[in-house]
Amino acid sequence: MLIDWFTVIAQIINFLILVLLLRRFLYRPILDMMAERERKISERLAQAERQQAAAQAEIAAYQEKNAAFAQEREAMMHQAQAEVAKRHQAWLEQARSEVAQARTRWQKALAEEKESFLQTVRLQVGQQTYQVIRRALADLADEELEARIIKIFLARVAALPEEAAAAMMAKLRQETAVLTINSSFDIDNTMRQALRQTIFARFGPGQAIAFHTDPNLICGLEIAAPGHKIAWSLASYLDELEEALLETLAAIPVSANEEANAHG
Amino acid sequence: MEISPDEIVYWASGPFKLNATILFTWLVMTLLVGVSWLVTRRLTSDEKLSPGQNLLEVLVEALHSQVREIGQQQPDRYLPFIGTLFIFIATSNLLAIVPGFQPPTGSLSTTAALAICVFVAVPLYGVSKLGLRTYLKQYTQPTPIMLPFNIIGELSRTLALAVRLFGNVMSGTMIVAVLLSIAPLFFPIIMQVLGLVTGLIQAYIFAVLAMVYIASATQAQSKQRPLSDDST
Repeated sequence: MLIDWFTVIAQIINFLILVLLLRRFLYRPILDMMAERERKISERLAQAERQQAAAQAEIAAYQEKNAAFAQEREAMMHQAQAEVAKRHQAWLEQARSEVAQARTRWQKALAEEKESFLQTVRLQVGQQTYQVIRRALADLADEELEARIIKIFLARVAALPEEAAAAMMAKLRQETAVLTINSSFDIDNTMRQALRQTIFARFGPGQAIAFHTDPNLICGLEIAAPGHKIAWSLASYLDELEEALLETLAAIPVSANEEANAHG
Repeated sequence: MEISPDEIVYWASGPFKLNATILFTWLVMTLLVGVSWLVTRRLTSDEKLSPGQNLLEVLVEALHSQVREIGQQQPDRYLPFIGTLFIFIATSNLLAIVPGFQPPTGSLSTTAALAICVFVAVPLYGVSKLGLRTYLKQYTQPTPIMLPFNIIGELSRTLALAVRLFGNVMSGTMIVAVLLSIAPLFFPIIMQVLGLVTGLIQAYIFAVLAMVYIASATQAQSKQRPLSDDST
């Protein structure tokens, strides 16, 4: 008999035990481990996908940021350029206005200098002329220059037009003012008498007369009443001289101004 | 000359006896379980595998895919049974090359035991999958007249399963023994190598047939039903 039934039963039991043991020690651990590995791999893939998505998002964000940065830089550059241009313009304007002011100041100073120079020249010319005339008159005649001046002045007073004298008299009476005779030199009593007489004859007797010496008159004489004045002095001649001098001098500063502008 | 390792009895007491079949079965069991335990106690799901784990994974994965392909179903329920059939038979057959080893599969008792296991497992899987009524209905298909033939077919294929394996393994051992007496040099070695191939093929055939029977029992009505949730 090839089949031993006890062995058959024993082998059935043995086989079932082997099935259970191998299920416990072989199939289940191996299959579990493979499933675990598969799960891990799919998890890793998913994670990689997520990371890639995150990286993509980050790339997009960075690109956006870069673009924004570039735009901002562009805007700032434009603003800076505009500001530079504006400031440049402002400085240019300021410099121009300063130059203009300096020129105005300089021109004003030049004008003042010219004026003061002219004043000095006029004064000196007047004094020199006075001296020259005085000497010339003294040389020409033996009478005093003052007497001549007084004489001429008296002639002028006498030649005063009737209506002007009347207006002057009316003013003097109205204000009861003193008639002042200013002269550049001292007048002696004889001459004062002659003056009084002439004035009385012209403006009526009893008029109060005061004598004053004023060296600024430059060799001359004047009668001053409120609002009126009768004068003779070298000043009128000097005025003519001054005008002539001014004309002459006016020709000089033109070229001086041009020169100054060319240097400025 | 013994034709079956059953006849080599080491110890006997009443109906109980310890023969070579049982002893070498235990040896194979110890070897399989021991190797499995040694490898699977240090399993890892990382990329780096120990060679043992790699080997076992290849083996289990191959069995897994074979069971799935043949059964056309989710293989997890059948893998321990079918896989153990293959591994046990293959190991027993391959170890036949070791001098002094008596392959347990060379005993008709062992192959009968395995065939009985398949014989019992087929209706068990069928009933658990389809339900008792549907399973029994299969025997009356296509007509109730076919019922006795179906039952005979069921029994005969179990017998064929047992005798095929026994015959192949026993013959392999026997051929080597006969050839040793005729041509003692070189030729038996070639036959031994051939025996290894035959042993593997027999293990594969046994396992595949068992799976086919189980699949036919569990899938009989599937064509008339919508695809079940675990059919792949």
